[in-house]
Order: sequence, then structure tokens, then C-alpha cells
Amino acid sequence: MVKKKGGSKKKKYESSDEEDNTTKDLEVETESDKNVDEAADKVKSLTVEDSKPKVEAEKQEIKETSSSDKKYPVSVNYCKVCTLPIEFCEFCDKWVKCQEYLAEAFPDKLKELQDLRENDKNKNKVINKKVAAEAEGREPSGKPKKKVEAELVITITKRTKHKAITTITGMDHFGVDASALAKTLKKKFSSGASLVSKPEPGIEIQGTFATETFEILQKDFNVPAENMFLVAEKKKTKFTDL
Amino acid sequence: MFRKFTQEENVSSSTLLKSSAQKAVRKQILEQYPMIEPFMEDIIPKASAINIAKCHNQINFVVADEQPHFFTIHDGPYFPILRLLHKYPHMLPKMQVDRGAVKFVMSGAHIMCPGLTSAGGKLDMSVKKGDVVAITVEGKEHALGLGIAAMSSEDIAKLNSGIAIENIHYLDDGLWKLPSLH
Repeated sequence: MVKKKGGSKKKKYESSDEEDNTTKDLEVETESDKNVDEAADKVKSLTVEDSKPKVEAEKQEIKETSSSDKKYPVSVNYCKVCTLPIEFCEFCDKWVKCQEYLAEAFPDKLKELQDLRENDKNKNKVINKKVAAEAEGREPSGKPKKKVEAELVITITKRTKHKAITTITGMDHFGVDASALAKTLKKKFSSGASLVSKPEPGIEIQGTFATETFEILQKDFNVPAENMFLVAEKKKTKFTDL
Repeated sequence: MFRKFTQEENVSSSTLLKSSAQKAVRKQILEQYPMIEPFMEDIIPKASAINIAKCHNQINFVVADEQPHFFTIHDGPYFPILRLLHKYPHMLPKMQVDRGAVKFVMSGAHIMCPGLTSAGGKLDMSVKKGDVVAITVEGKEHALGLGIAAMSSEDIAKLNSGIAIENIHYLDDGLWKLPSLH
């Protein structure tokens, strides 16, 4: 290996081929400190530049369809409905909704995918069923279901002696901010009211404050009275029935 | 592997690595994926600290800026997260399956030999048993999933039956749906 001064070395690197990469590193080690730094920078910039055409070539070999001027990182278009890359929308179970999104954002791709999906020999039966259910049931079954489910439950649990805990769960169905509610209750009752995550996310208040909490929720947080339930001594009752 | 995966249920602890261990992790990743070295600064910037999130089944995530980037299973090789693989598809050798296999892969099935050897499939002949491979689909640009080769490409072509690639992480699985780890 011939030792060269910094200046001439630079020139060599500029004209050097990719194949020289390995020998370059060896040469660098033999240089003096100053040259090492300089050369290392050069090598670094070179490898960055070199690696691009290299990986491009590699990519082209494997994927003929991809365009050659692609650089890393590849920007991927993800579907906003199903989070998959848009070309995989045809396989997802939200295809009906995806189509709406694709029609807006990538109309060309949508046609391509629709063709692919229709001409597919291996019909995705499982997925089709799901889609059909969603397409039919989205409006009629989706919304009313939620309304029935949404309920705010206030539970009273007995502790030792004459102590009890009031637990409130399900307030996030009504857009009630749990921490804000806890703070209000704390002030109102001058008692401990803490956020709990288990077994369900909710608020625990020390003491029995069921009816008071009910009133506050109804007045200040606009929670409809018919959706609130009281669980005391294992019996579930509507507040409106009390 | 990640069919169901949520932070609350599956991630048991997340710890900040000391800087020497962080260096070691970076080094190991680069050793395994030397081709991403020029982009390492974009993937895990030097300034950001690396956390290791431990999960059940001995799965460890390499987390930086609350984003998981790589994971290991039983201290095995590093696997990239699919979103990362989409950005740098040259990280892994590509094994192409036909269109019929997609729905099975997307519900967590392992990749069987016929899916790779049929008209729509393509094999990367350099793949050996135990390699980490990307699973791609005919006519699609981006990877469908990633897994471990259960047999070498030669064997896949020769035997043409049984499990060829063990499916580890695929589109729309629990890990894909996980927005961030912290």
C-alpha cells in the first residue's frame, strides 16, 4: 500500500470507484492524525453518496416496478381510514370506507385497486363478509348501539365499620373530563376523590355521596339523568326511579 | 406474535438505558443492518435516549422518542418495526408471496412454501434458515410483514411444503396499531 499526502489522497477518493471502499478504510488507518480526520470525513461523505446508487440498484433488481430515482427514506402513503399503506386497502376490512378516502386523496390508485380487487381469482370471502356487514350496518346498527351502551354508574362499596366508597365509572361516554370532575367533587365534599384505572377507569370518592354526585353531574356536566345508574347493595337502579 | 398487543397488557416495564448500553444497542443494530448506517441519524438520532421496553414472552423493544423502532425476541436478532421497514426496504431480503396468501398472512398465519413458489411468488436465493426476511406481495411496493425464514430458499424451492417463513409482525396486527410506547 502506498502512502500518499492528504491533497493527492483527496483526488484519489474523488475518482475512486465503489469497489475501493474496503481498501480505503485500510489506508485511512495508516495516515497521520490530521489526515485521518480529513480522510474520514471524506470517506463518510463518499459512503453516503455511494450507498444511494448502490441500494437503488439493489432495489431495482428485486422490484422492477419501482422507479429508479427513489431515495431513502421512502415516503409511504398510509390510508387514513385503515392505517395500511394505500396499496393494501384492497385487502382490509374497511374497504368501503377506504374507497371514500382514496377517491379524495388518490383517485388514480383507487381505480387500480378496484380493478385488482374485482379481477382477483382468490376472492377474499372472509373480508367481503365483514365489509358487507359494515356497509349495511354502519348507519343503522352502529349509532343506536352506542347510545344504549353509554351509561354512567355510581357504585357504593362498603368498607370496614361505617366507612364506604363511592365509585363513578363511565363518564367518558358523555365527554366528561375525569380529572376536572374529580377536582370539583373533592372541593364540594372536602373529601378524597382520586382517579383510578382498575378495574375500570373512574373516580373513587371516600364516603357516600351518590345523590350529590348525581346532581352535580346532571347540572354542571350535562349528563342526561336517564343514563345514570346507582349500584348499592348489589342492586342496580336508575337515578330517575329513586 | 403480535396479534393482540397493547401497552397496558403486554408491556411490563420501560427503562432508560445507560449511555454505554445505548451505544452497544446502536452498534448491534448497525452490525446487523449495515446498510442503514447513513440513515441512522434519521432513525434514532444520537441526541435521543434509547429506552428498552420489556414485554411478556421475552420481547424487548428499542424505543427512542416514544417510538418503537426495533424489537428482539429471546435476545435474538433485531427486527425492524414495519413502518421503519417501509421507509428503508433494503434492510431485509424480500420474499414475495402471491395475492392469495395475503388474507391469511394478515390474520397471522405463517407463510407456507407454495405461496412463495407459485407464479406470483419470488424467492431471494441468498436467504438461509433463521434469517430475518421481509414479506412482500406481488405487484405491491411495500412489505406485508416480516418474519424468520424457517428453511433456506433452496429448501423452499426443493421441498415445497410446510412452513417457509415464521410470521412475526404483519400489517394491521397489534403492534402495527400501537401508536407509541412510553
